[in-house]
Amino acid sequence: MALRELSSLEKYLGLKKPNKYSTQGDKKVPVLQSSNGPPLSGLVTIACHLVKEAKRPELLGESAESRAVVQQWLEYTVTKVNGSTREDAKAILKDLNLYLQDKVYLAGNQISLADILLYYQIHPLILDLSVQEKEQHVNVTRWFDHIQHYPSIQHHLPVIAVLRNRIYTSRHH
Amino acid sequence: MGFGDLKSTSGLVVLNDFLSERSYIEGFVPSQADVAVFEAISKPPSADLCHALRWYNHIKSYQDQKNSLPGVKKPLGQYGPAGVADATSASVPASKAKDEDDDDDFDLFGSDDEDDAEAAKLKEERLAAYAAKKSKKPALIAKSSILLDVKPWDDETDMSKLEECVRSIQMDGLVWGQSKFVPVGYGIKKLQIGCVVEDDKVGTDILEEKITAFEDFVQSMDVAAFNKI
Amino acid sequence: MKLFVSEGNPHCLKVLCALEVTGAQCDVQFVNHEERIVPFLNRPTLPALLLPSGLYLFSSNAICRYMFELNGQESSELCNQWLEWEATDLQPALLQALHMAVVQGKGSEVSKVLQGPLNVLDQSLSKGNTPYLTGEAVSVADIVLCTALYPVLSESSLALGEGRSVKAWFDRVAAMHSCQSAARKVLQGKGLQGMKSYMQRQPAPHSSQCRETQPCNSSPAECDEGERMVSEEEMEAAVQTWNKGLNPGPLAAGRKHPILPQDGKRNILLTSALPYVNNVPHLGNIIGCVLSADVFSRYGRLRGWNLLFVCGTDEYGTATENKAREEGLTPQQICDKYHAIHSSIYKWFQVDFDFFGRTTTEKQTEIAQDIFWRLHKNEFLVEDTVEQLRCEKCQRFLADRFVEGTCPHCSYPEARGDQCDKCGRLINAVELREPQCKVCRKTPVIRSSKHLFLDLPKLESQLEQWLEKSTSTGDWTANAKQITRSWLRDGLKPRCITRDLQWGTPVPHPDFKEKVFYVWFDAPIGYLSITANYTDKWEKWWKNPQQVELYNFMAKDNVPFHSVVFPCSLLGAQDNYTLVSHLVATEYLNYEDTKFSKSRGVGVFGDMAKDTGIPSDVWRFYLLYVRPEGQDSAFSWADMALKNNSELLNNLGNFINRAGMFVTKFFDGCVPVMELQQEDKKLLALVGWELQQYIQLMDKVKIRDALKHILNISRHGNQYIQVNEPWKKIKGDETERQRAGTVTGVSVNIACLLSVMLFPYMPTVSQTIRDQLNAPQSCVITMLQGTSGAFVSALKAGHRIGTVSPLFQKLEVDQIEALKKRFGGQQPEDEPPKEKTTAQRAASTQPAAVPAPAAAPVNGVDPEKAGQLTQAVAEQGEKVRALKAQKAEKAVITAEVAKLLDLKKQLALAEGKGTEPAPQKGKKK
Repeated sequence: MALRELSSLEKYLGLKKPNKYSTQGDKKVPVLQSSNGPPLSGLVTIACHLVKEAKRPELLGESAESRAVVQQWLEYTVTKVNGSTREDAKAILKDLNLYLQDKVYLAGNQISLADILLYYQIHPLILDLSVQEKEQHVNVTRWFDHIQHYPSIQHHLPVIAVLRNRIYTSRHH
Repeated sequence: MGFGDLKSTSGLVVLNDFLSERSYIEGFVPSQADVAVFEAISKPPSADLCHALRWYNHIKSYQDQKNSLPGVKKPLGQYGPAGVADATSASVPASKAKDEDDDDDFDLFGSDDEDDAEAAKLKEERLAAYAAKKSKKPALIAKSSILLDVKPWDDETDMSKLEECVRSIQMDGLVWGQSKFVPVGYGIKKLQIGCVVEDDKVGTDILEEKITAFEDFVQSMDVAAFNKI
Repeated sequence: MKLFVSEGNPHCLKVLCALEVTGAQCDVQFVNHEERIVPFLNRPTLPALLLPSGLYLFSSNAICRYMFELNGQESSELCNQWLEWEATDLQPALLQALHMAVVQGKGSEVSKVLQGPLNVLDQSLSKGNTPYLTGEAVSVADIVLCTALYPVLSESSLALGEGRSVKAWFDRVAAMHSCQSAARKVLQGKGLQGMKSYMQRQPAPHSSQCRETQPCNSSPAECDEGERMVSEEEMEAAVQTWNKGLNPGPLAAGRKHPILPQDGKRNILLTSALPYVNNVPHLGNIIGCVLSADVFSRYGRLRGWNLLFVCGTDEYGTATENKAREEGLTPQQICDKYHAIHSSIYKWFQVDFDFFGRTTTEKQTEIAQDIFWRLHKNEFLVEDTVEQLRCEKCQRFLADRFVEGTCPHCSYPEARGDQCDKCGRLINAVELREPQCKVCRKTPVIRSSKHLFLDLPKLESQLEQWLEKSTSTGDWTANAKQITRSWLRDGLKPRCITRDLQWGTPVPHPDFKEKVFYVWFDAPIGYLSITANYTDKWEKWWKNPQQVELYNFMAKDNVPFHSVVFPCSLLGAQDNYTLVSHLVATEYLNYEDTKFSKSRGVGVFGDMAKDTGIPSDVWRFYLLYVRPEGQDSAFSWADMALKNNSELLNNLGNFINRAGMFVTKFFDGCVPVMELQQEDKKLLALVGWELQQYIQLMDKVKIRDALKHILNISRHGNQYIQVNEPWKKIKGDETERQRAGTVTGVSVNIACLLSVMLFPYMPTVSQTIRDQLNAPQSCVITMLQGTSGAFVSALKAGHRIGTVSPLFQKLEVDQIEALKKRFGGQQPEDEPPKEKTTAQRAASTQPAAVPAPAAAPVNGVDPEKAGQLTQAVAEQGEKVRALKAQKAEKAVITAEVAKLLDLKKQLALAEGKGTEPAPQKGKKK
């Protein structure tokens, strides 16, 4: 799983020479064997490393504040979303839906690494949703649809069709 | 296409609805489409239009680079949901479109779209719905289907009598549906009965009051399921 | 910026510490755990940082990182890596650990959970060889990890056994002022307990739950151990052992009494605290001393130690006098009566004493007086007048336990005359404020009389010398050491050894006629006198410290008498007495969630256990499984059923039964030829490793921990059978049949090993297994020898086994529910709230018309009860109809109907009918 995501991320970042990865332990934590320096382990750690390597620091946030927010959602992605149960999924979608109500991206007004990794990790959860559930979580769905269509992010994952035409007119809040 | 009058609340409602499932007016990156609509709006949408507001704030952050955003501006009538026309008063100056919308004697539903009539109707409905919400009165006849559990006192209660009593309740906006007896345990059965009610005429409270009034038979009543139709 | 934190929330430690280290400008507000600060999160989440932009950060690591960044310290990649590891690996383990330690009271299991992460940390620190995680200076990673671990690493009682590098690093970082001050703010100096209210609100972590409940072999944590790397050498060694024959040695000829110390043997004298005679012991008493001691003595005998296990009833004292008055008997009659009750209870629990005596014997008088004269001669006794409480109404001096009042130290209103249950301090009865005679509730008067005191201060330095040696070389439990230390720290004072009573060992000194020895002085001498009643050569045990190791088993409230006071008596007597080498003290066992209490009828008492229909072995198993080893634990009926059904029935019993059945069904009852392949060898090595762990733990009296390794072996075994499917292979070609034979043979040999390892815990089951397998008795001695035991193939090819039958029975839910009610006491609040359906709620607010369901039979039909209930149902039905006819208040009718429904439910139960769940009032939308 993690390795596919890292390779998709590499493609998005336009990194030319692919890195060598391995995994360790039962949880298959990815490890990056780097030529210079000790190996790095952990999905987020490696992803941040790749972003720096690609000289795209803006993906980690442009101010201290947004960097903190990006890191927070990266952590959320690997601790909460990754390996979540059906019950967890409900809570995650509820939280995110509220959070994304007034936001286009997770952090600030531009795409960040947090959007990308969360998109990869939340994909199976969204795949599971019925049409009604997608409508219930309209903010998450919108964000998800946005990121999956964002240029060159969606690589290894299938596009999930998000209902475009409402069956009925919604009641306004 | 269009949002109606973006300077008015009703237009912003359409925009809000449109943006609930989109981040941008067109596509997945900010573009001139966003700039065009943004400029047609005189002030930030109010907080209850959260989707419009989110979009507004987001596009505002591109203020410095709005000219370098991709795409070409089009008339407002070419954005937004199908079936709604543009009716924005004093349309965008930047837009050089030679639309009939520019005419002074603007027509509220001024589009030669073939969907005209339908669009007008929809818009009317939306406006009505919005106004209705403001005045806290449902405009449509809202109906609900309710499934009630009616519990007797004990296993010696005459269930068919009980059902008879329940069905004897007659009210405007209430239609009884099918029913059955469901065992609860220890030989006791409860009556499960469906009904369709008009929301503003029949509430569950009235139903409960009327049903439990048959106190020789009924111990309690619960709503087992409640669905808006 | 504003930081929201709550007390007792371990994540808040991190941010408060980071705040102080970085000096970030920020308001701090303490709020309630349940306060929802972060608007978009549905669960209340703390800590939370409100950023200047109005955004919230809710991840403690992100907050720390942000504060460091504001301070100009951006986190490096190595830092990132540690922070991610902390969030993904360490936190789940910590959460589980804290849940165990704080909520479940299983502190002793915490080290297992944290071992993995702590090893990772230790290895990395020792490899890096820098003082801090990412180099020479403190980074955000150090602060986050150190504060995350602070609650567990600063709690020495958890005995995590962290590596040296972790310890050094932790001590370094935790010593920082910022860390200390954060800890004070969050934990309030209450350590783990400071987090209780927070942890109780957290959802239970997943992994621990499923491990507990998963019946068979697939539980993740156990598999981890299972997938322990097994080296070639280990496998070879295991095979070699396997091929060794059984030790022909002296067949267990039974014990030859009297057992006396022998040269060249490990001579062990084992005592369990003497139960007081005036009461029926409850499960807490049983697990605390006699049962634990029994397990260890059985184990010791298997190990070939020369061991003597003595115990007896403690019979002197006012409590006995009182009981005698109550029951209209003489004290001696009371002692005889209760001594018999104790004997029979322990017999039912299969506690195998070499001798179970009593303290009211001539030997007791003889030895106690001898020690007294020696102390007197050596001038360790001092005379003083004592003010004592006397109840004029009851016409007697009040023993400490018969006075209650307000504790002079902590103001606890129900302190006893000798000790306060709240603060644990010892009290002189006369110091109590507002004392009351416990019998008549009159205020006693103070009278003075002359008494003798043991001069403990004079013996203090001798005692300390001895303690230092004993505690460092022997196996003293942590609580025993700690309680002893705190006694010495407070300084010793002379202790009165005489009492103005009749029922006791008389003081021989002419100036103190009419007085008896105080029980604390007298009772431990019972160990000696009971041994003396067992053999005339008792001094070979008790005056032979060179040859004899003395183990004392007790609950923790008895520690000071065994570690300080009694040793002082013996040291002062100067007669080369054998002093305790290993002091094994348990914590308390709670019942469900309250303490055992005879007066409230809460809990299970020794004599009732056998009435439950649950076999003695299963009782032993469960009590030992929850033995309060290192932490208080709780007895719970539901858990007992769960452990019986999952561990005994589905795991252990299932494996042993299958192994035996395969031999019977597929190989005509003869153990087939075994040709070991790699997989089998690996299993032998794994089993050998578990056996070694078992022995090492048992040697250290970690009875509960050792039990887990037995269960691990059968888990391995089940998995082995499951993977190899002998029942399929037996139908295959020659090679497959051969394979089925090997798997069956190895399995049945493991079953044999299990029977031996089980012997200390479940003697009857252990013997039953060996009978079923027709196993040679010599396997018992062979398998537990040496430092790591020997898993030999005791059942060779061709061995004929006996008749195999299931070992355990399922405990059904209703059976357990009935027992729970029966022993739950009268307090409705003792019932878990979830049980309160509408019907029961109504029933508990109004007195029920018939005997409470407490008397319901365990299982099946009870015609007499059913008759009563039918009657009650009819009456109640009448009542309801009458009320309805009178158009009574709705609430009244509802309550009566609820009662009717409840009665009908009971009736259905009594008639043995299954019932549907009670109708529950649906929630209104």
